[in-house]
Amino acid sequence: MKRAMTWLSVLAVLVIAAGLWLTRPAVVSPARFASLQGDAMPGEVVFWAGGCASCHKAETSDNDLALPGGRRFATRFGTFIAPNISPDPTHGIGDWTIAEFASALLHGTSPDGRHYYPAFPYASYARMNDQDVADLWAFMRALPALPVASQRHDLAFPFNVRATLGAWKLLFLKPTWVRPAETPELKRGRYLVEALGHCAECHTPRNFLGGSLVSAWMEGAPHPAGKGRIPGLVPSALDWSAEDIAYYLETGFTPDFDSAGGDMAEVVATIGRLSPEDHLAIAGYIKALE
Amino acid sequence: MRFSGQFALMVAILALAGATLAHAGGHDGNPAANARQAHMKLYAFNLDVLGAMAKGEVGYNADAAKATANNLLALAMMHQDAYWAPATSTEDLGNETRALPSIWEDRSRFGDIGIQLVEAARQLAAAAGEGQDSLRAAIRGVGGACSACHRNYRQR
Repeated sequence: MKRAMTWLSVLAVLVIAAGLWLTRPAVVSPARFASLQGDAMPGEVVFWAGGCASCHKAETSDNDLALPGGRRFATRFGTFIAPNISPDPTHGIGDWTIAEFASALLHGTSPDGRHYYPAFPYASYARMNDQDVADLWAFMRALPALPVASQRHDLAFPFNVRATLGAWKLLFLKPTWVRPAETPELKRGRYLVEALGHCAECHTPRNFLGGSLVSAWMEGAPHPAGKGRIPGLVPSALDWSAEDIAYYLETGFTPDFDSAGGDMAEVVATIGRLSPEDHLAIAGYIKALE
Repeated sequence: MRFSGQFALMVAILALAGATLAHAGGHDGNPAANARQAHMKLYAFNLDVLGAMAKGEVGYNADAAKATANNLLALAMMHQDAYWAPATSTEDLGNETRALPSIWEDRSRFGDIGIQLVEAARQLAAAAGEGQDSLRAAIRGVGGACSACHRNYRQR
């Protein structure tokens, strides 16, 4: 009996160790990015499409190029606090390599080899192409360095155990395309919506573990802060024309000239800087939803 | 017979007066909240005219665009302190308004966004007559000011 208990304990330890090994944080190989030349000009377009500033600027700031972090996001898992992603070498990402930057965006892994929480939308950014990662890196290196310390997230057990995120990634980190896209315009729209713009992170409901329900893609969801609802973008929920959607992204004005408030105002402040062609590409993707 | 006719008339007059009073007193809502919403409707109406031209839904007309943008500037410049009377937030008036109490707690930032709107409207008034592209680009600034206020001070 005692012998059996010992063997069971050993087995349990082995299973846990194997589990942790299988779900260890993934990184990109430095060689993959060594030969890529980043260009800050197209990197700026990636920056606005990615909406980095919406979360990482200071709480009451309107400066979308200063990214000291500190904004708080209340969810049922606890409160996430956006970190400093300015080029400050101590508090921000100034001493990172491009491979570490790519590992963060594409695998949700920090330079010290830990899992990031999916509040950072790497489940979407994982669909980014490598050149865009390099261009974004070139652009963000030139932003102002801000010596502001990042704060710890305030999460409840067991969500404060980062090792559990390996299992989350195994279940929900699937960097394949969700919707088909035949034409170049639809492909561009899909890239902007499913990868950079990470629209589905809010507009698609999540299961109890916080994984996006692909079966209910863009059908709208309860607001993660608990009050209100994020509207659906599927045709049954949104009857705007493609031009209406594009103009809303450009100006924040709805078809009857109310203006965006709430979280979508932040999105318009960043994604609104894209070209009219990109806005129409996003609108085309949304109109093709089912 | 005559008496009852007079009585019926009196009752009718009293009933009408009562209904009028009730209408004025209870059903039309808070005057300040009404004025704010009317003002917002005027913004929206004029923006609709400009937006239709910017989007190309109707033909661009420099004179009409300029006149409409001047309407918007005039609206933005109106002195509005009395609109934001004390005790007229959604905490006081419920569903009648979406104005958050933070407007009254944060008057200087609220005022700054008002100034941002005036500046954006001024630029729009200068740009509106200079062609469709110029009009379209300047509307974005006004949209930014609208959103800046709504995301901070309007109930979601």
